[in-house]
Amino acid sequence: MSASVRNTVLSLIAEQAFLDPSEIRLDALPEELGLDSLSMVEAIFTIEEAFDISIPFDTQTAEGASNQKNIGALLAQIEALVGEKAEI
Amino acid sequence: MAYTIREIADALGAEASGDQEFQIRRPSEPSRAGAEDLALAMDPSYGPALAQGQARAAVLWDGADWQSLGLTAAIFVSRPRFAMSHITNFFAVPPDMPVGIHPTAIIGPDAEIAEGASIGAYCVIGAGVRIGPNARIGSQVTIAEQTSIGADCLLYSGVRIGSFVTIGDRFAAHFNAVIGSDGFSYVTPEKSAVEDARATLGKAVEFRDQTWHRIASVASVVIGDDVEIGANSSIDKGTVASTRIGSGTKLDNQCQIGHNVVTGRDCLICGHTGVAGSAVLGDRVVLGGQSGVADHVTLGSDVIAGGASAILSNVPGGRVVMGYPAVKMDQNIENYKMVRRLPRLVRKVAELEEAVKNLSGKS
Repeated sequence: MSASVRNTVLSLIAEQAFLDPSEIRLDALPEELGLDSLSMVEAIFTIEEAFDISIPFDTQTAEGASNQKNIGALLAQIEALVGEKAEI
Repeated sequence: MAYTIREIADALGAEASGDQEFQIRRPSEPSRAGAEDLALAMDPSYGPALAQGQARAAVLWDGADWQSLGLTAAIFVSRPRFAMSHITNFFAVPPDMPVGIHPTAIIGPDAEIAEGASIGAYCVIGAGVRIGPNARIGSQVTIAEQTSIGADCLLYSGVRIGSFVTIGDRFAAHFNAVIGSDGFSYVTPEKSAVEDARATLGKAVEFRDQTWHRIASVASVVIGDDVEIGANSSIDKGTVASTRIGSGTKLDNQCQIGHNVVTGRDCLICGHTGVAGSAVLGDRVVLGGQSGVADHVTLGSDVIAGGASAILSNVPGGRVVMGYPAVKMDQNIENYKMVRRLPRLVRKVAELEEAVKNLSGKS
């Protein structure tokens, strides 16, 4: 499950950033990929829709998904949410 | 024309290292820079691009190791965007407007044009117009009667300025800007359907046979110092009090400022924005591109509106707004989040409905 979640998340972020999925480094902040706060909101929506989950996010703080978090941390959060959903 | 690194650093008020007498001809993007160019690489992220180009001199970020970048000379800046203002103005070529009044220009009676003016071909300057020193006025500009403009104005071709307009110093207007057109103001003999619609928020509108009667613009436009108006933008005259644009305010291209509007100082009004009649803007208000401000609305100082915001009600000072209707930016994103999640919510409710139905024995 996890590999496909990871591939989907990275490809959706890459699509929003006009990059190749291989260029999405897990230690990069959204800003370093050229994703400003509103672009990141859009990326999160496409991820939500792909997995039918709700990702808590707040652009101001490090709560939930946010621009202060690197891609790896966001990925871990999404994997956890997808995992919870699978258990239900 | 070549410039030394020392000249440019002095103009920028910046520190330089390396060969101060090294000469460059023009600014350039780092990756495309030739040996006579000044590469603009003011952020560490431009380091690799610098290596792709041939630049021997560059403007760099504070503390950059210029020698390891293989440069002969470097200038250091701490705020790249602000440095861009100095750098671009240093290299900007002023428009070709020689001092003198072109023989085809028509100057009205009692017009006073101060020394140092350049007035281009086929300009028409109305009666009693006063223009301050060192005016640069391109071709085919018209300035109607009794208008006054301060020192050092720069009016590009096709600018039209109406009558009785008052403009401060260092005014700039780009091609085909219009200042002082009549306000868009009409009234019906009896109460109009629009007034009903507004008072009842669309609930009780009585349609009547009605014609529109013009409310004339008796006042004009008053513009402060250091104002800049973009191409094809227009500012209407006021009805009984003048439309006012505060000092330092800049308008982008194709903006519309309605009659009686008052803007404060240092506002920034981006392209395709419309400000409807009698709206009041405080100081330093920024309206993103394609924004709209409804008539008779007040925006406090330091309001920032994101692109395409439609501001329909008053906004207190210091607030950042966005959307239609414009609300606080974080609220707008929250609303958008809800809208985006709505289809999934609907599906979920349908599933729950089904589950409840099954629980209650398909009643």
